[in-house]
Amino acid sequence: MRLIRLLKRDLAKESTTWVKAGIISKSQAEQICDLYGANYDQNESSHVGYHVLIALGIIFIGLSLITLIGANWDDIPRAVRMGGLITSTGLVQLFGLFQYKKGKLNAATFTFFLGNILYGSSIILIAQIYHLGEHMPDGIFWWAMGSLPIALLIGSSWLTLFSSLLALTWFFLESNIGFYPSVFPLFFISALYLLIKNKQNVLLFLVTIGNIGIWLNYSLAFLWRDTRLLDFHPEHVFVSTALFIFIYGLSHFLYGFQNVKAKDYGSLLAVWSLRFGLVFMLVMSFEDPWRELINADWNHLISSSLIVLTLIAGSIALVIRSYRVQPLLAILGLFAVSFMGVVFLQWEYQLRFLQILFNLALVGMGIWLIVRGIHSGISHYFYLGVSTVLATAFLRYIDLIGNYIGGAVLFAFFAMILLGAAKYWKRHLNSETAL
Amino acid sequence: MKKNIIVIGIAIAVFFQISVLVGEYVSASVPLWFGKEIRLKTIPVDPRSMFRGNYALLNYDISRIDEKKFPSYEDLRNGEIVYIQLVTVENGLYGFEKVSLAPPESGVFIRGRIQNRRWEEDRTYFRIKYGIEAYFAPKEKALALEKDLAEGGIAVILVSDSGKAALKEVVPNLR
Repeated sequence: MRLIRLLKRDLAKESTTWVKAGIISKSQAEQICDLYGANYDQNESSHVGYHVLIALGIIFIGLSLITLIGANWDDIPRAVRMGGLITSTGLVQLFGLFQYKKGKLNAATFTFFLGNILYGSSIILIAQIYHLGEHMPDGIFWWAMGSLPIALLIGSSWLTLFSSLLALTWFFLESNIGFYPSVFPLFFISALYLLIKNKQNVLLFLVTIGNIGIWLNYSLAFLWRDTRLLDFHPEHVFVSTALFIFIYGLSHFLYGFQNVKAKDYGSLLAVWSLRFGLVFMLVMSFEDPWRELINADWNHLISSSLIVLTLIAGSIALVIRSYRVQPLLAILGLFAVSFMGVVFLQWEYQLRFLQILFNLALVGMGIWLIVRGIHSGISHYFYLGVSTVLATAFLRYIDLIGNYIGGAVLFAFFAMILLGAAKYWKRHLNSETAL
Repeated sequence: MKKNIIVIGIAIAVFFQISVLVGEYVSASVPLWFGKEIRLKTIPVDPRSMFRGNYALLNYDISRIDEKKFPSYEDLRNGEIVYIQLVTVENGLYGFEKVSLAPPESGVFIRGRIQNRRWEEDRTYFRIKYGIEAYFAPKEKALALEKDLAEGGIAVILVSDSGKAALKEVVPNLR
């Protein structure tokens, strides 16, 4: 997967330099940019800066209004406060509507954003005037719920992102005290609709995927709960791991499309599932997480196994089309051995076995990433591979497996890998020069 | 989608936002319009709000209830709605009678939400919030009120049929 497609602005900038140097023509540069969905004229990048500054300015207008009202709170009669809050929200939103009717979509989006901030501030301030502060999540829910329809109607990814983040805040506030926010899927389904319909928005995409994962985990906590609280169970670790494997499969599936947007989302998923996968493996390279998993009560094994099997079957089905089954099979093998080891073979020495297995897997991943980075010329993979090996070495230095002799052997092994990788790279460069 | 339909849709969405704000106002005002007046003993403590100006924070006897008085206290979550049945205790003041998770069928009761569970003096208590804990006043007035009510005061509360409460005023003990 080419990560260069995620660096569109850099690509556009570089292609301008190539045109100026006479290496390629302008039309060729435009064709290259089109291939990756980049804007050769870089109008978009200057617009991004402009939009970010406007959005920040609007946030400060909102803060200024709240501070002004707060400072003069006692001098303003209650009816005026109420009327002022409701009227200002209504007027700003209607002005946004007026701009939208005139065809000024950008100006309308910013006005609606300001209107949504005023709407949320009004909810908070009215709640405070009337002392309704006993359950704050309700206010955040109505804020998110009120912001969503406008976002969907004008097809704004940024307003949808704003609403999704509010919904996520509401979701956490409710679920952390044991309530299950059942309306939450409405927000990520709406976001998915806009992601398919609109041009790409990386942040909305990542937040939406995150929201789906969080919702799935809390839904399982709700189904598996023993008390009225939403507690996490050991089964969550395995379902989440299977979910990441599914996301990895989905990344290949999306990358297989000709569509630039699908390819970009595929690349994003691949990069982030890889990063999360490595962090998870680093956590599991310690002994304690394995001990906790082995000693935990596995009370929901059947239902969790069914979910895991479904996700794995899904990931295989998604990857088969891309003919990149080997890495997935290696991941599934590691996953199966760990799962069987923890759940069915609860022996004492197995702790160490699983720990060593994951450390070796980390080193293996490091080698694979270094080689992949060299072969494909993707520096991100190369440095990620080197970082993985170094992080593993550092963690094992502060947390030795076994005694100092075992540690020394492990470090010698790491040294061999890094020196071997360096030699491999040199040979690769030589063979390229010879060609 | 046609632009006209989107414009109508946005107008409905704006109307929805305004309805939420008006609904919030009406729901908060119901006890003030139709509520039954009750009086509760209170002790104010100072703080101030960044958004609202100044207010005195009021503490009531029913703000802290022993967990043993709840029907199934082990399972209770923060944010859980509870109903406190009140009874006249002395000089027209109301006090705690019992607590339930469903609205009582008769009598005067007030609706609150569990804030947290605390261990104090070898016992476990639930802290409960009713939305009548903040009394707004200009800074000088809030500080004066805090001084006047140092020995405690009486909060005049209006309670609707659903148990929702609104704070009308706070008066010194002697009045």
